[in-house]
Amino acid sequence: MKYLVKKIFTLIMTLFLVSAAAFIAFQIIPGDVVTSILGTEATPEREAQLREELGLNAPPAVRYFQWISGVLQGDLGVSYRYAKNMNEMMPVAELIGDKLPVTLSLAAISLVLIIAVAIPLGVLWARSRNKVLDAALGVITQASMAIPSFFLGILVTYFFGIVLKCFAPGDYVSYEKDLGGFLFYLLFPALAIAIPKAAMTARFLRNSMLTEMKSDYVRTARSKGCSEKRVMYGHVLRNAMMPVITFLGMIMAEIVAGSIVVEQVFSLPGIGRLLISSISTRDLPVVEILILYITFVVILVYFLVDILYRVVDPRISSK
Amino acid sequence: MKSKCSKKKNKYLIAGLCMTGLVVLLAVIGVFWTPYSTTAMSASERFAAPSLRHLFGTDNFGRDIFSRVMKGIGTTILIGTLVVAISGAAGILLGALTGYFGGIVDETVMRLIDAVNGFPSILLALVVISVMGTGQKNLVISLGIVFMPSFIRIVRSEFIRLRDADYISRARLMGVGRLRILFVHILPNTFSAFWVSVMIGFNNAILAESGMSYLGIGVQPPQASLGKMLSDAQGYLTSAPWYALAPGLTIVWIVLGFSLLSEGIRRAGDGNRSQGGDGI
Repeated sequence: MKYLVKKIFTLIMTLFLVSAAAFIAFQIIPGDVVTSILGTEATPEREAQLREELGLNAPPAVRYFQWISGVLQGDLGVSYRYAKNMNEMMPVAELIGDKLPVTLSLAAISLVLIIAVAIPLGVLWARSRNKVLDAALGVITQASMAIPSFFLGILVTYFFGIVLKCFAPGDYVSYEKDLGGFLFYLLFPALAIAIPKAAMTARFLRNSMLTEMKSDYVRTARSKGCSEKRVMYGHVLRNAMMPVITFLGMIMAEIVAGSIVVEQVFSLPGIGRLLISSISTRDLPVVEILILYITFVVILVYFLVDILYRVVDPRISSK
Repeated sequence: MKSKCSKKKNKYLIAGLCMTGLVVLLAVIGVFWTPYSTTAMSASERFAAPSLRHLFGTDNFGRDIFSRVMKGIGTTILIGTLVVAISGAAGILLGALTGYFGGIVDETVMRLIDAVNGFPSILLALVVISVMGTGQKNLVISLGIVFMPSFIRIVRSEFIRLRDADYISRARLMGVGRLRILFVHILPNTFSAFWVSVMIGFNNAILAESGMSYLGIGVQPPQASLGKMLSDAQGYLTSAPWYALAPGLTIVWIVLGFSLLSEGIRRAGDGNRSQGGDGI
């Protein structure tokens, strides 16, 4: 319990530091926001007015606290680029709102695919006495780890979309219209994210299992007459999964990063595409919030992995 | 057993050397000569399929893809090298100082690195790029910053391992200066670990560079870049699949070559310690 409180405190401190760092970083950016919105031909009066509207006149520390307290209350600020209509600026919250489910679903499907492929594959690989299979899996996983996700995305588009005609590339279906179609469309980008990560995880699990198989308890289990199946799944796999859980936590962070690129390949309207376009147009309030958000997700995942790890392996908390 | 080990080690090293050697050769030749001009457009030869005349075919402007891939490899390797040079140099300096002296600075730097290390590199690079703005120079600097922590970490741990070694305390007794101990006595002994991380860092830099150029925030046209070629090619996937395959497979080839090479070097460095397991 004491551990949990300490962990949560660290979590909050980290988020605070990241938000401050993000804010300061975007403060020192060269170039004036007002000029970039209005262009160089604007009148000084209009510039002063906009400066007042955006609250740019206050000192940085005050602005940071205004910003962060707004964020905590759900007010994420307004975008510099997108307008709701002629008079109103687009709130960042609204901009992000309908893109969030896309990215989250993509990440979830990818994770499920990774686990579904990597664990059986890793077990099969660790158990295989077949040299050809062993070598083949080695080559396949090595090769798939070398393929960058965007190229894999293009290959998936070409193979499943154009050759096999399983789906129509670029013909994205919104989840509000057709949930089934939406999930089916996401399956292909998820595949592009999952393949290299699944290869890594399978490799990792195999190595972890091979190490465990050399342990004394395995010999003991065999000598007391446990069936091979029981030794493998009851003893070896359970222990070999420990480091894999931590590894999957790292993979989660990679999935988030991978989705930024893969969303672009499959033209999915998710967080990643918004981030890229906001970076290109220097829409800083959106970039700030997205970075804060992604950081939050990554930190939260690490936090959960840490907790999960203790639940799965009681030895750690007793130490 | 031993002969089997060394046989395996050679295989990785040889395959890696052959693959990267070919790539580097193409890049060097590409600096001076390419079969066709990389910018010459030809309306009559749009989307020519791969043939002896155009090894990788031609693109939507009738430009020879092989020539552009040659130039692209050059750009990619140049950026990868610059990134590794920046982050490697910073890594040696900071890693040596923090590892050898320890203390509060070491503690602070390590906590910072821990915080940064959990984040995927392309994400960090995006953050730095969004602060500094797009473009090739900023791309190199941002990737240089992003890959610094991994080098600091590896150099630091080697320095910690070696700082209490007998030969170092002997050197200290003899009155050798601190700087000399750091960079003449310890540093050369960290190189075998350092080279492996250089290879891995180089690979990650190439992946990040091509990814960001693909997204349009890395290398800017008219400079040839494998990532940018891929994003251009994506629109013509139905009519000219070879256009996407050429730069894509080239990236895979480069990355695979360097990871085999790093594995080979690691195994060679490990020597008898090698147990045949594949580290990730």
